Amino acid sequence: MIKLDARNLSCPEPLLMLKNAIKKNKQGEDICLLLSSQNALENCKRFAEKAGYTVSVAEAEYGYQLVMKI
Amino acid sequence: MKSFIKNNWAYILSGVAIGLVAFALTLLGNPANMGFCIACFLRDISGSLGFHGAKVVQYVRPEIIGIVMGAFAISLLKRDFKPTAGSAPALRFVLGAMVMIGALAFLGCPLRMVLRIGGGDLNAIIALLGFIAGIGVGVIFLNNGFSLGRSYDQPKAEGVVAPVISLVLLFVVIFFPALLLFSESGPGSMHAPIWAALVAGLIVGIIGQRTRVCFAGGIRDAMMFKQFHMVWCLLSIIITTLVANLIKANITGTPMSFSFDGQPVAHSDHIWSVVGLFIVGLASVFLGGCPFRQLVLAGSGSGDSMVTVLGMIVGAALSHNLGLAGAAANATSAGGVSDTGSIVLIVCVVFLFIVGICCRRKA
Repeated sequence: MIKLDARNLSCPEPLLMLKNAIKKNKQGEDICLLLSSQNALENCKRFAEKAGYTVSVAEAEYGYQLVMKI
Repeated sequence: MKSFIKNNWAYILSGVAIGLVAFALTLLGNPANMGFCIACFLRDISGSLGFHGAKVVQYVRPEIIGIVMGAFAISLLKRDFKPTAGSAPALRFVLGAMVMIGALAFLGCPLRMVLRIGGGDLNAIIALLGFIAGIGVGVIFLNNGFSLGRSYDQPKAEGVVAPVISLVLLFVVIFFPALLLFSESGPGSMHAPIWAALVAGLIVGIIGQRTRVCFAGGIRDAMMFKQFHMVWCLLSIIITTLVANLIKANITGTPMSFSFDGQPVAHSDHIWSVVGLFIVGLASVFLGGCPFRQLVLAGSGSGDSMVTVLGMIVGAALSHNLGLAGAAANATSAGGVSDTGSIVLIVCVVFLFIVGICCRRKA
């Protein structure tokens, strides 16, 4: 699983981090992304779903944990 | 078409609402094509507090208070209020000041740029090219690892600084106006009634917080991620104000003017308008949002955005005290940016490139 920590980063760094990870993910590994804001959650979820991933979201003390599977 | 509307209706409607509210404010007394202007309004507040001595631009704009309070209220209600700070605050302060210096050279923030385009001001279309170019350069830096670093969770007291200051300002305006300076002529003296302006700000602040409207972010995301929803929001603001202005022209019998000359609170010093908005675009990408977005984030708990707003207020004071701001054209003068202003704009561009090169994310 690819793990990304994008908590407390300014816009659009979380989305850019995810975009780069998806680009490199030729093996189709699951991606786990930690986020701290609703804004980043909406953007990243929309982007991953458009890229063909199934996204599950869990709320955490710090914000959100997204697990993306293809 | 169906899926386009399904995916973008909230952004298009937000744009229509912002355009209508802005237009209504001009009918109620705000200067023409200035229903909202985050840069101009923060500059007016800066003047009203005595930070600068430009007597024609001094007023505590309730729209700014409303935007912050609207964003604050809705972020609390939607559990989106999050006190954070600590991501390069001093640099953000300086970048905020530069955003303001760039915006005041052009005579407007990106929101006013959009409203000016909708009002038939062709100068704003030229300046838009500079804004897009600045964002494009910012995207190149982002793709090469630009970052101002992480912020950190903070106590609630840090997150409520912007709403509390806004409330204090509102209290002083209502009960102790003698403490503040108010323009007796010029754009600062032209304003909608205080409650109308406050409600307008609240509405736009709520919309901005929920739909994340950002004028720099919209163009940036279209370039970086091929996500266009915010671009539709910008276009719907332009179309709404354009249609509203055309209807007004039809009713009043005064034809709308699509021109470079004779536009309200504007000049045709194109080179420096382009450079000014280039600075706004590039610095806004570095900051993670345009001036409007910074206000909304400040209301949602971001201490970093509040520091940026304070930087903008100081930048406004510098702009006017040092004669850097663009002068609006009038019957006797073509207006434009002074030689000193031009030099400072170039210095800002150089500074921004240095910041872009120096601030890279650690691998």
